[in-house]
Amino acid sequence: MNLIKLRFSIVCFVFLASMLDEKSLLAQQNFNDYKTLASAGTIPADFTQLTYDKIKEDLNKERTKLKGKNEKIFLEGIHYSIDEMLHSGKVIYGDEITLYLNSVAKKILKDDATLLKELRFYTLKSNVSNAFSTDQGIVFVTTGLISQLTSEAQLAYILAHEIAHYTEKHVVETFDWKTKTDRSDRTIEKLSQYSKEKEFDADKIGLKMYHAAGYSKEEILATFDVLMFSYLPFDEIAISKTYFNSEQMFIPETMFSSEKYPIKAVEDEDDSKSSHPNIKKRKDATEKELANLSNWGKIVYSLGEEKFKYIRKIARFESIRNDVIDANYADAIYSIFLLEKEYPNSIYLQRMKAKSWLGMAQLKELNKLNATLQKASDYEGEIAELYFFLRKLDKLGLVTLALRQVQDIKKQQPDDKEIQLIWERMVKTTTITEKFDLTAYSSLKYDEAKIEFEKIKADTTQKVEKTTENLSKYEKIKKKKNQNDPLNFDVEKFYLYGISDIIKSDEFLTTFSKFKKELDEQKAEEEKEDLLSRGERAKLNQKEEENQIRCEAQDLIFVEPIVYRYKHGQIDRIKSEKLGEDFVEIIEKTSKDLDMNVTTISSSTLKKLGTPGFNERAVLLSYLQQITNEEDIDVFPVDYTLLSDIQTNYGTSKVMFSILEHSYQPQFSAVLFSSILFFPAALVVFPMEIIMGNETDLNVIIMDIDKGGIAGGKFYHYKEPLSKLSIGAHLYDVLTQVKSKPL
Amino acid sequence: MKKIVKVLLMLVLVNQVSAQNPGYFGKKNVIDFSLNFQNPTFGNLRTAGRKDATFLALDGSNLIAKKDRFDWGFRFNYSRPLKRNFAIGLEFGYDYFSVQRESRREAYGSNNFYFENVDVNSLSIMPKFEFSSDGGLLPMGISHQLGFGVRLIKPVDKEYTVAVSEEYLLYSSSINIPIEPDFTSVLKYNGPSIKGYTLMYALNFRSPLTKSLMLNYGIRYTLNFMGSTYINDYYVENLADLELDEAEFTDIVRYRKQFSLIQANIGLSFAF
Repeated sequence: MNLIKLRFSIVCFVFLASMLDEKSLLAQQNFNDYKTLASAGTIPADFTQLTYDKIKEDLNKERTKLKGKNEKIFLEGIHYSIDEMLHSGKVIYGDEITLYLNSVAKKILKDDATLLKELRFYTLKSNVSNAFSTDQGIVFVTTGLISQLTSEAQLAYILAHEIAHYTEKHVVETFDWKTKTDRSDRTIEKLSQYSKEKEFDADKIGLKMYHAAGYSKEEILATFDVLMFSYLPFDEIAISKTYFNSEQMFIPETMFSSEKYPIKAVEDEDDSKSSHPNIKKRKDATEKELANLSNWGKIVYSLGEEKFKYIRKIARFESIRNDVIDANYADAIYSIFLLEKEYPNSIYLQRMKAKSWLGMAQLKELNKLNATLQKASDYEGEIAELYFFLRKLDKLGLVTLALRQVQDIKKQQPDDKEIQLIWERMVKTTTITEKFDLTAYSSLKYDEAKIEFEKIKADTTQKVEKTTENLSKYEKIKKKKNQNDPLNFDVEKFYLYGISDIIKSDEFLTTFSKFKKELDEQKAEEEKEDLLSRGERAKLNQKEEENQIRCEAQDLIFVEPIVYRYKHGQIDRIKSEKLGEDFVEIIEKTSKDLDMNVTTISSSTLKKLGTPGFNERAVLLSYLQQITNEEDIDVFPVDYTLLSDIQTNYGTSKVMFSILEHSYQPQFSAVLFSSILFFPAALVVFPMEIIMGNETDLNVIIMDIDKGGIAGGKFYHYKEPLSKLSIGAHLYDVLTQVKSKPL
Repeated sequence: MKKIVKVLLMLVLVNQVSAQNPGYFGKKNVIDFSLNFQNPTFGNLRTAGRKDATFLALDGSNLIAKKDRFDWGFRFNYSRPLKRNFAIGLEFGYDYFSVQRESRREAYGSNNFYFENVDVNSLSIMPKFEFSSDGGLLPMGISHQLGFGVRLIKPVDKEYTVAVSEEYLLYSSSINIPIEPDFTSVLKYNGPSIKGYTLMYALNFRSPLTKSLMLNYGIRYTLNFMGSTYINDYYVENLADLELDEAEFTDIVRYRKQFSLIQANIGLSFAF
């Protein structure tokens, strides 16, 4: 039976794929060489249509009963927030998960082709387990949610629930309810109550759709369990105490917790302030509804179990990348631990593992790792053991273990350029780590040192004393510090015996010396700067400031600007979007004036660039997000290979990001104040306020893919009224510098 | 003149050190032409109720009291940004305004002498510094300008009416306007040409119109200095006493200009 289903699902898949253009013919993922999910096929209008055009279009439709100002506020609110998400680089279309979502939705809506046509399903790359529908008819499902599910039927139930929200117009009804409710009645509890009613409603209607599609009754209550425990990793497997051990590194069991950390989630938690009823209430209400329905189908997998597991595996692989972007390195390590059992040779897992250890070492070096780890009071489930261990490791211990791990990965993948670069950055991290002194490390392995120690310990203490009694105070100190001396064996300092092979390796020593030399030179330079006079230092700072974005780049990739125009302290979305378009137009003109090749990757050029451009934009935005999340460290790009491809495609490693904000807010209170103090002063203050009421901030960041980080940035704050020419003059300044040699 | 040449030479030489500044779309030289206007509000406030200093203008053959409403002038300025937020410049200005001589009384009789206001030409040259905030991009945008310059001030060479009236205006309770003179005469002020100094702060704004043209506008505050030792004894012993000498001219110009605090200006700037 399953075989028939599987064959059917393959036929369906092939048929579906043949409907798309050749670019969307998706090759099956090879998990040993996993590539992050990318969009495929033709770009849907949701991604290319301008937001204010969407609003205009919807104003002519009669979907909502809202009228006048409220309708405009509602449409602006939903369109801008959803478009922000669509353009975030995290939403994808035409990929394997999205196609799967569409297939399941097709099954649910097999009898309602009109509704199916209205709805669009997209995948959101996020580890938060969630699915949500919008009033525009878009249903987003996160990779986090897919990674937690145990069957296709569960996904079908969740999709049916979201579709019900759309058909019942819950989004607009909630908005309408809020605007009509007296302000004094708008309490969290009342909103929660209202929202929960809508959720029960969606559960009920969704259940009918699910039932009509022929899915199995048994999977429904299990879906609620998935939702309840979805904040935990996608599997609960104890991490072995020997997991981090290797031929060279031995970690004593004392480093791990002896406790078990129970799962705390309960079905009947207090939901008085929640948007959703608690699981118990939802289960109870659903069970009542189940009793009213008969003739249940038996479908658990309409597209095949294998297919579901394949899709879920993609989501699980994707979750690691999401964790690395968000600097949740410990979570990434746990997910890798779960997946590498099946794929021990996956280059993707190994690269992500190396990036995670590097990231943790970099954060630990700055004493910032613990902020990314769960607090002891929140420990829950099997992953807690990992948090416990990572928290217990001191700085030197963690950096050494990270070096060990990255070194072992490098040994496994000696020809991988990306891993080689991560390894180099890891070595660089050791050079800047406080107290990381090669002489402190033992040339003996842990077990060798331990054996020696036990042997000597068996001797009399007297003998030991005799060997040291003739030594001077300083020789004794040196002897105590020598980790090669078995007498100094210390279980707590296990890591000092973990890199005996590395500290003897020529490659490591050469690389270490190179970075150490660079660091020493940098320190010497800083010391020299300390001796400069205030004037000389100011001059030097000015020069550094001036050189921030000078990189002699003739070619540049320009990523869609983030533009905000404020009116009365709030973002005027329509004007902001139009200004964004102007900004793109200006940068293209200015670059032509300066004879530069600037490729713009933005929403307004997406129609022209197509899906490849959309994917490149997503990769660049992910990197920007990664840099923003981990601004303190020299972050290694999560999609290094894809970034390198972009560099090759455009012949440049320089990428420009920009943020423009503008507001006009003359401070008339200053006029009033000056008038009270001295009336004629108002004659001076008033015109000044009128003239100087414009505030514009332009922030430009130049990223260097090659160097793997931010090359520099430039900030302008100016008070001209906003015009294409004033923006143009500033962008001219930016591009002139980007094109110039450093001073 | 030598000084002007030196300043110009300096402007040319700084060409070499201003490489950091892209100017306005790559154009690093700017010429501003602007008209400036001023309402001498403070001057009028100060003379209000003072009969001896009432601003008198010719109306037919009579002198009538008026408000001194409007001064104007124009300026040429060349400036060159050395950094994004710093520029130097040299400004040539012409200003036109009027001053009022105080009335006099005949020393040995009851006649009073009333003077028509005197039109004044003023030429100025002023080296300037322009500053903008850290995010500035001179010459465009808002700039704070500081300058210190020299003025050459001369009365306009024309005939001015002087009215002689027997009315004892100085102590009457209200000004008898218009003055109905018993007779009038004309005077020409050929003599005085004086020098003054101006310390200037301006809040100026250059707003882009095209890639080489900007609208400039703003307000400026000036402090004008000129020495004066003149003491008005109010009495005319002979007709020669009606002449405007350098000391009196300096005094009335100083009196007038020290209350000319605020000016507005608007014009065009060419970048090249």
